[in-house]
Amino acid sequence: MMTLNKNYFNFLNKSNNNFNYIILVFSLMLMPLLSLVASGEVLKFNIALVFYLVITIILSIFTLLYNFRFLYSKRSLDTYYQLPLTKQELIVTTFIFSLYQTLVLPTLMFLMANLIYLIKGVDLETHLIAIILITIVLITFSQIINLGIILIANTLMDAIIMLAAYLGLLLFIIPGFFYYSELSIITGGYLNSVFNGFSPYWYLVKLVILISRHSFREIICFKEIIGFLVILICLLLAIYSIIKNGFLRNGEKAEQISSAIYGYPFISVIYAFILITIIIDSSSINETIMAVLLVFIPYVAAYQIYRRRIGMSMRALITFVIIVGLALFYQLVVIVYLRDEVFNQFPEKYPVEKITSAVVCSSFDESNIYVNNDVDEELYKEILNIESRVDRNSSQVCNLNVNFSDHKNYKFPISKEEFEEIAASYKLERRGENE
Amino acid sequence: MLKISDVTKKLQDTEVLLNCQLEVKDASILGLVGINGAGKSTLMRCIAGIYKVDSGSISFDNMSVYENNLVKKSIFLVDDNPFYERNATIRDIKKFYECFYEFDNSIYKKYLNMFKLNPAKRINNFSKGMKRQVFIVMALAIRPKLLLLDESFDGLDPLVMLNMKKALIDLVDSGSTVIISSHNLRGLEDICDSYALIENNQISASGDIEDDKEKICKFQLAFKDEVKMEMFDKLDLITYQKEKRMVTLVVRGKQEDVVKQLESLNPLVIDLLNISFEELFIYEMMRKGYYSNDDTE
Repeated sequence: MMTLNKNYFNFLNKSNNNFNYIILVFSLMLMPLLSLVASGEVLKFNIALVFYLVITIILSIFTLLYNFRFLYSKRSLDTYYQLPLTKQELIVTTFIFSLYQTLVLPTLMFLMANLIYLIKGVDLETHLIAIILITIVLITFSQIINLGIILIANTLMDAIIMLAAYLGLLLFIIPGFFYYSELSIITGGYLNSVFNGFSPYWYLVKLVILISRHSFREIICFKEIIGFLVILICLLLAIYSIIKNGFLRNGEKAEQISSAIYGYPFISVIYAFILITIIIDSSSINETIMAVLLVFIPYVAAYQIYRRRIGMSMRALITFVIIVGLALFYQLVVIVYLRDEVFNQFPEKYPVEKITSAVVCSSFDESNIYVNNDVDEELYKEILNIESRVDRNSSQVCNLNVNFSDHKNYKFPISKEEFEEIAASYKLERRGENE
Repeated sequence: MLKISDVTKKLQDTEVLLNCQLEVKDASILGLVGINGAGKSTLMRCIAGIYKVDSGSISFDNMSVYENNLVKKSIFLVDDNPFYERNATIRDIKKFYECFYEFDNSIYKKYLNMFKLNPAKRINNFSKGMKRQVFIVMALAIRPKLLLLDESFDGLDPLVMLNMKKALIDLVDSGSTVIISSHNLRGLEDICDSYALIENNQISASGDIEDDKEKICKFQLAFKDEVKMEMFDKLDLITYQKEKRMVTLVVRGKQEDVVKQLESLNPLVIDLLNISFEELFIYEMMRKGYYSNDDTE
């Protein structure tokens, strides 16, 4: 049963007065400052909202590392572990205090910053309550995951490295579920490949297609469900880590090499695999060889940090060779096969006219139309239809550059007539003219 | 009563404690001795519930210590290098311990005055000895039923040491048990009732200091004629030193029996010398082969 030790909580609250004061001052100062800069009530509300989210996300990481720093020093761990507190009480109380520090003051300040709009009669109550509830849930989830990560480490430096590494890994996954459209708007689709193209989420989708023989669109329909499942898995893994590395933590672990298999070994293997997969996907053979050697350098560096000594074990070298082999296998067999699987699902032909209803183009030049949005099923069918009727060798061929849902850009040849038709229907401006 | 039964503990795959057995009576002071790296601090941490033992058990008042808040509330460990937050004052440390233990403010003030410590001062400005004094004051104010002092007596000046000893005797008089690990065996001798010797990861010897001192006798003998070592073959010799016709012997056995045997050798003089706890430790370690005879000369 989760137990909070009130005495320890009160002590933490009293002894962290200075830190709480800094949080309060930041929250108090920046909100009116931002409101002064911004013009218009909606904009002010949005700025306060962004600031509220940013400050809670930063605090969710910082408070956790600050309050759990006692785990990483032998002297402090000896002191804390001899107290009449079970390890469970110690971890749970410190965690709840970190959550309290992260949420209470910024939320109060966020409410205060928006009080003026509520007094003015702006209808914000529902939004405010929803935003605060969502933030509380998200921050709680993220702090549970962060705690699960930092407990893997035995030193503060390892905790910071692992947190950065795992959060970086989650960045590949999370936007794929929730923020894909937002990312497309912000980055114009150019950075989507960075965040999503190599995301384990997309690997997962492709593998599900391969195994289940369902169509790409059918799988994508379950995006939110898969997203929820991944979050749930992350939470369960974090809770497992909290129990194993927190509630059952050995007193002698502090300041030792963080040797957990899901620490440095897992991180270095997964990062090496992702980087090599990216490189193999987008490079020639010579470039690939050079790039694999370049990935080997951070891999070796990670090993030195992990072991705290110069040198490399034979096991680590063999592991790297296996990673390269797996990445090659993945790219040469799985992706090539899946690419065909994904893009040959729609044999039927559809009328060309429909294309204009599905395309949202950003700009065009003399021979290219660039399509930024995800290509959905309807559009894809139409593109196939157009492509089948175009003579690729003709000088009357233009390019329809499409950004597909798996974040790869393809060039489809279309006739000049169709090119003009699409451009006209959307009143497109040539590149440069609208800039 | 503290009972340690068959305790084994590994640290990073190295056996630090192996099948350790020990019983410590209530209201007594035990000196835990052993060479560097013998496992004294590890045993202390196991007793305090910081480390989980790999096998065996540690109980205090018939209750297991590990993860037992009730028992841990009556145990306090003072490390040789105690932890404090960087800018903490003595008052801050008091507030910290007050949250978890029943704190006796009158005792806290009494010992603070005795050791002339200013509660408003930051600890990181203190010397190593003063830092230890602060934490011993905290321990005394908590009045634990089992106080563990891990080399926290070493490096204290003689006057502070004397006051500390008085304070510890007061604590023991109130029913508490104290375990002190130290390399200052002369300091331990004055206050310890019993001792435990850790060597080769095991508690190889333990018992009452005075009783064990009586089991070893040190003599200085003078002979008229030339002396040969073979003359003492019947005795359980620990050390033998000869200078012309003078011999110094350390012998294991009852004093009366040894004297009788020595008298049969017709020495001119037999002087019985006192043995300190430090010598007892050294002779015990010599017997185990840690020091040679030459080391003690």
